[in-house]
Amino acid sequence: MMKSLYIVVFLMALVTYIPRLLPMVLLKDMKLSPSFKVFLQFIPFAALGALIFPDVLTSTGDMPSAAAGGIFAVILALSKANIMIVVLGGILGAYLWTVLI
Amino acid sequence: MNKGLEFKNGAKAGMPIALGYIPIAMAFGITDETFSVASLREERRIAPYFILGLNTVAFGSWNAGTWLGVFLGAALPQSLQGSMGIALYAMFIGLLLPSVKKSRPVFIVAAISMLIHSMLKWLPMFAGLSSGLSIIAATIGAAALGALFFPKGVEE
Repeated sequence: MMKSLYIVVFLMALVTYIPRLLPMVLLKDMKLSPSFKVFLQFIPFAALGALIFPDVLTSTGDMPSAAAGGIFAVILALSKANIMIVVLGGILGAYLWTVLI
Repeated sequence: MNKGLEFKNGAKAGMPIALGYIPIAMAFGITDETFSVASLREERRIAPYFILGLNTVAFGSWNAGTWLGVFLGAALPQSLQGSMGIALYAMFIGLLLPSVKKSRPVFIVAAISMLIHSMLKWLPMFAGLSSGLSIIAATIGAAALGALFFPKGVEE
């Protein structure tokens, strides 16, 4: 049982490692078309958008508190707060909502 | 063998540095979080050693945090434990919003991505799609639409 667990972990690590390594090795000397470069330029923002919403709403197990924390984090981020403050503020916002309301 | 590489050392801009086996170590540390932090840096080219440092800090914090959580997590009140689930999303918000504020194309691409992911998640016809696949589809779809609508890219 324990042994098969280690094998599963090792194979999982390998399966996720390969697609992370290959693009770096294969794309390094490749000439990309301008529109493909623009596409790649947008990837981080598109990925962050999809990662944030709507999953943030289920992140605390209770939608109103998650929304409160999320809105608090958005306000802090828009007012150029340091990212640690944004993270702590998000947690605090969700926590205060749970405790006070 | 690495003379064609475009990675540059921040201290000596313009001078290519040999990468050797560094990509093997760099790939090990690529996650949603390290990718986001690295790709949203202001500089156009990022020193490989910055990536290695970033990955190491993330990996170390992750391990330390996991151990801490195992031993201390149960001692935290349930309500605080639940609230901490938002931490990762708050970090993503903190990473994304400054760019959204600066660039209209970025704002629209991020909004489209959220919209696509929401549709894939909530519309019954996409119920079979896993969360990971939905995120990948939303990312590729929104970035492709962005490239179509804003051929000049992020800066406008």
